Amino acid sequence: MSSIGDSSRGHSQKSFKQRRSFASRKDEVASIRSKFPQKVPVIVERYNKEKDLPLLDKTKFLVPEELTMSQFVTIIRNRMGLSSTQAFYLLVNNKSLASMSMTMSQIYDQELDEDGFLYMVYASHEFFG
Amino acid sequence: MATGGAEQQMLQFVPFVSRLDAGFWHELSRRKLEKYHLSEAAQYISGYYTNNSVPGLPTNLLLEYSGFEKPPVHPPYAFPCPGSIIVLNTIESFKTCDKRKILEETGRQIWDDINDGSAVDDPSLLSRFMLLTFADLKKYNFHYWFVFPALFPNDPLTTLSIKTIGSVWNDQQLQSLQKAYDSFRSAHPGIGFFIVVMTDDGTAALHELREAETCLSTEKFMLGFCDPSTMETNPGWPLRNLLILAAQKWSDRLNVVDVLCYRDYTRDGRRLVSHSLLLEGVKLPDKMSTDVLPKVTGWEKNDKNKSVPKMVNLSSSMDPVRLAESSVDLNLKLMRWRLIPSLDLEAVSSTKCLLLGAGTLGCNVARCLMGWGVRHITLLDNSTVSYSNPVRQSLFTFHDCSSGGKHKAKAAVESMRLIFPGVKAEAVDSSIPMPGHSVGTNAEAIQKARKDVETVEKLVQTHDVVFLLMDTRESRWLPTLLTSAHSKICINAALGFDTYMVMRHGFRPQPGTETGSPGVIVGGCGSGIPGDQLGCYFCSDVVAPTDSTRDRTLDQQCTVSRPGISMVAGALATELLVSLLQHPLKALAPSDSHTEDDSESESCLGLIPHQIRGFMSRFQNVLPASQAFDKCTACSPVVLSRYREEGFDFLLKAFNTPNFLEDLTGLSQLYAETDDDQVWELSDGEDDM
Repeated sequence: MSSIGDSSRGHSQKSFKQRRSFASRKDEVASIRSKFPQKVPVIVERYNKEKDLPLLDKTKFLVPEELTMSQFVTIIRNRMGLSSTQAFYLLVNNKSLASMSMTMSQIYDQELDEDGFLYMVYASHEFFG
Repeated sequence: MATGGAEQQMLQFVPFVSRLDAGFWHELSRRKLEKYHLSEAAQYISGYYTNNSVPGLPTNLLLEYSGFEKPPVHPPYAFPCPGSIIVLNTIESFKTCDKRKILEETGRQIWDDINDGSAVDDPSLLSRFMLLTFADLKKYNFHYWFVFPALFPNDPLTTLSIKTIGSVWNDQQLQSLQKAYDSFRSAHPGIGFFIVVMTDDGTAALHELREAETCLSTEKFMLGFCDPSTMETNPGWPLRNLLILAAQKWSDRLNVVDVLCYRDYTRDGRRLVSHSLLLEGVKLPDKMSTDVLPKVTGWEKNDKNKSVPKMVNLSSSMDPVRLAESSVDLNLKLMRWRLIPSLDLEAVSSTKCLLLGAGTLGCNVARCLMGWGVRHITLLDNSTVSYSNPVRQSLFTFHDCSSGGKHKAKAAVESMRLIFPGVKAEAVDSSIPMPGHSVGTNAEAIQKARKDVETVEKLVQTHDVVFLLMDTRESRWLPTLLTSAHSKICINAALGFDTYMVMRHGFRPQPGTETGSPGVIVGGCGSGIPGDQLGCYFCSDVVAPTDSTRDRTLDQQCTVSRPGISMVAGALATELLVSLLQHPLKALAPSDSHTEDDSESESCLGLIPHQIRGFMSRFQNVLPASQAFDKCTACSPVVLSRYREEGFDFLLKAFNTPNFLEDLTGLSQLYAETDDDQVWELSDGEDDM
């Protein structure tokens, strides 16, 4: 499945994968993992049709292995400055939802991309009827 | 069959088998209700028989819708029989009325028609019949019994031989007969009795019975009739009274007569008459005294050869409501013929469904459930139909919007009944209290909230499945909690602009119930999470529901989404439930997101995911699954146990007190203990810090 995420700033609609070659991404992961073996490299992008949620300043994150998904979600919410009225979800690897109690290393082991990054896309939780 | 030609053999006649089409009973019901009322007087009807049946078919006397018309409207090639019908008012009178009297009265009419010559002029009177009925119009049960009276001569009717005309006559004679019959028929349509004169040069001519006197002197004089029988050695019933007529009218000059049993059928463009029977040397009985009615027989026998009344139940074809029901079910049952023999339709149709929200999703889910034969559907909504609704909310029309608009649930239910009267749909006009929408401390307001909660609680308890189809996040909280607490299947569907989410909530068995599911599977990210460990709608985020309508502009409050999204999501929600109901574990079925077809956890309809998330911009669906969150504000054990202990008082705190749910579930603590700096941001392309 092609990515449904992007990290468009301004008019750029290109996703991280589109901006960077596979080789360069792979090299980058190798470099990060060698320097920070206890951290997981995560790409967090906004669903390309998302209008309500703000764009994150950055898309690339280094996350402690033992951090739980619920902690990670809390931090991402804080980074976006979301109010409690806005619910969202993170789609992992374009197909999965991570359980809140899972640790980042568990998620990474199951869902890492072939380039070595863990990709997540965030979108508003649907609520209309 | 006679050999050597000298011995007489008994003639045996094939009785009529009545065949009444549904249209006849429809018309009878109408006439009984609108015209006859309580009258039990005999009414005119007309039936008919034909002589063109394929060999092997029964000797039918048919009654159709048009049989009540005067003159009767029958198909071409039909031979009308005059009849009468008596519609009795009670089953008792049907059972106890004097059958012999009815038989003899009808027989006497035939006897009189023979003796006074009426039947010579109009031989159809020989086939007079009587139909005795009792119509139970509540249950559409029709009890009926036919009399086809036949008069008995003093001596049995015998013949010398029975042969097919094809074995006696040459082709020229057969063709001549056909031609003669055709010209007789065009001159006397519907007359099935005649005289045949076959000259020595093989030319046939047909005459009316009233011309008998002039024909009798002819050497090759034959009686003829159009024979409904298809048996090789037996003529049909109409011949009996014809022979009695011949005896009464012409026996002074006629002792023995040949009889043509004319049969005439066309198949594959070929017309055949050669299978007609020729009865040679039929001995006519002696003339009987016209003063005394001969013995009469004629009550129709059933297929076990017993003379008893017949009964037909036409509820499935008479009552349009029942007709619709059986048609709906039949259509579904066709799935089982070849496609899915193991499909358990009963498990679907008997499921009681509660639909919370009667907007776009509510309407579409209701329609789709009806398509699956679900009978019991309850809709809850608290708003009214507005002018923008009908084009998207598929149960409403423009008329539902006028004068302020009908209540949505009521209008939806009315519409469902119009579509399918067999549906047992109920409407509930009530609102659902929500966290963040403070009830306040006013006693009256609290009383209303209590009543609303009780309404929803009772509805959840009395249904098997609850669909969450409302238009805010927070309105989904109470029913999520209630379905968890009462161990009900919960199907949740929600729409974005061009995305949708359809999920089954994790099933929460009653405390102390052994589910038999394996222990907690840590790290399940897609497939294989047992049904009782799956998450709910609120398990995927770390915030409690709150008033989302504040600070929202109109486009953020109304369902602004691609119109097709609701139809897709409504259909998926229904189909997800149906697949789930087919799984042996039902709600405990593990999540399954495999794309291969050989998954073990499938139902007969295929895999059963936890969630379906659709992205219309790419026409893609993904099937994620996730485990229940132990800090979930709607389904976590602490929330459920507090609800079980405190009931409404607990719910009131959730409605009224900000951060109550976050504090209770430990989310507040999570926020406090989470340090944003644990996650490092990297700039694009930046690979060293």
